[in-house]
Amino acid sequence: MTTETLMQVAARSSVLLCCGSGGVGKTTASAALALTQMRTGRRVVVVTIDPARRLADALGVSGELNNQPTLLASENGGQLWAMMLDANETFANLVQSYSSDTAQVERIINNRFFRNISSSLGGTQEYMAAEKLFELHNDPRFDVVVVDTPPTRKALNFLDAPGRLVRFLDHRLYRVLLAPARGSLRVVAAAITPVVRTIARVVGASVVDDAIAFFQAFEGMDEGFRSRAQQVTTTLTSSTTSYVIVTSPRKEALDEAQFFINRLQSEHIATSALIVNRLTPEFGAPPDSDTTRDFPALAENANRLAQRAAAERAAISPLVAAVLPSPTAYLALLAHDVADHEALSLLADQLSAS
Amino acid sequence: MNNFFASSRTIIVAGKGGVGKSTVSAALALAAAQSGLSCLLIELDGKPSLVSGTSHIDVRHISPAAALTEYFETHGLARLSKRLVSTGIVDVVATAAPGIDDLLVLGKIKALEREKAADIIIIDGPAAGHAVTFLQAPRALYDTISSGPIRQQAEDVLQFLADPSRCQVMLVTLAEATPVNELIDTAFALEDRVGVALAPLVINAIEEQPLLNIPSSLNASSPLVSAARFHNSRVAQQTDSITNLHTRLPLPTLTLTYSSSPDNVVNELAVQLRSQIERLS
Repeated sequence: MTTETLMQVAARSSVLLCCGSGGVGKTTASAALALTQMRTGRRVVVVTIDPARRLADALGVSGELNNQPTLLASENGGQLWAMMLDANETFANLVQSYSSDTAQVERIINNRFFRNISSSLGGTQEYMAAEKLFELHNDPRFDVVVVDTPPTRKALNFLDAPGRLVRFLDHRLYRVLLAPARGSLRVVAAAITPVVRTIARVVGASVVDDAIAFFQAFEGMDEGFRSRAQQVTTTLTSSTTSYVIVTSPRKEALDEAQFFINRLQSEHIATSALIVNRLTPEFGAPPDSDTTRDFPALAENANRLAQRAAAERAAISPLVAAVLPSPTAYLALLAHDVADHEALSLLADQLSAS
Repeated sequence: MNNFFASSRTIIVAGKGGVGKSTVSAALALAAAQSGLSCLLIELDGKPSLVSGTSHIDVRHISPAAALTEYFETHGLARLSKRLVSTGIVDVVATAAPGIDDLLVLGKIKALEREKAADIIIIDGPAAGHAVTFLQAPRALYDTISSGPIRQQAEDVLQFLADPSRCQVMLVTLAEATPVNELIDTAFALEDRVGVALAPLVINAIEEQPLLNIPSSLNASSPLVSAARFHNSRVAQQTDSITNLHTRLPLPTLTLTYSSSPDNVVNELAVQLRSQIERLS
């Protein structure tokens, strides 16, 4: 038996993290969930990683979303804000907040290796999502933060991403790289290790120079980063942070949802709720024999959809059982793409009624 | 049938999340194997493959870290590679030169193609958005690195990608507005910026039922009517998306119908692929 509804889970949460594979409508479900929270009078901000244009339309955003929250709607004393994560900018802001030395900040932000970290180092985007979440969570303008995580298996890496980036920045390798380097850059070139020389031969010297310059500039900031990572991790594992798995009834999506549930379990985190999106709708009682005789094509269609709906319910049942006593909410596949506020509003109604 | 599979020795399958990219890759591998070809199915994102234990299909997983390690080992840097992994420098190298991991994965695929590891190699590739970045990596590195083995590798991979008899990209979509628009953007980007040939497009999970005529004699609130309206609206949306696709991207297409049996979907799609491919050639 479930002990709470999705709306009860949401009401006691200050952070709602929506996880799931691509194509299940996670961004749409996150937006609909945020909408339900505004309707109950809460001030909610939804953070999206990669909004398709149509979602911005559904949310009623005229321009592009950016790294700063934008107020989109107010209702019943509640507010709906949205923003799109810019990992690069978030990282740069973080660097700024840990150094009072503007020259150091400049050196780091303009370093090519630094720019590559935010766009290319695995886990950085997830860490920046966690960092942004932490900021918004502590922002007095908001009661609840809804996060639409990236649609990859790696999405939950943000659970250990803060630690990972700190290890990356604090790795003994860089101490090896930097040991002879304290002082001037000229010394680096002279004292460069055979490992570094070999790498330079393979990928080019300028690449290595950038990396070394970055770690030099970063020196002294690692302590601040480490304690911040600790705080972010505390927020992620707090009892008011809820993990919502979003799936569709397709086999690939269900397998991925199970993967996410297991991954959370391995971090000792229970899934707080499941949202099954894009379910074939149910259209009431099967046609009687008279109707079937008179309208065979329509009856056949109704039966086919009913069978499909039943097959989907059967396919999702193990997952529904796996998250118990946490609740499952259902969203029906709409006849049209979710491209306007009305469609999003319909989905929010369904979540509230689940 | 064999004409299609003989047209390119490597097929990289790409598509937006949720369009059934992995299912289509597996079905394509099965279709090739059923026509008597040896097939290598390569997984890039660490998910378990949907086909296994079938004869003639060898399933392999290539990760960027493994490709980097192997690269160093085969370039006389075996001792170094162990140290690189244990110190985590793989991350540093990949961060310092973005795309190097993608290049090395492609380099590994190219090597398998060169040594004729199978009659046909099918790659369950990256999600559509990432496909462009993934396939652009060799050009970007070729342009930034002026000499050395990585530049050589980039050059070899560029030749591989530009040769339609060695490599083609098969894009998969659903007949829905958003995935179709994303497929069209990806297709243009791949042609313009990567110069890789496109294999026939795959439109997955289509409804083959025709539009229904709803008699006015029926009560509008009857479940039959609401079910029919739902169906008609989905089919109309599907027709619009397919028209949009054909208009903007005139390429041959393979259409696969919706499968309601998750356990048998790979087999079903393999059968459909075989008959559709026959029709193509």
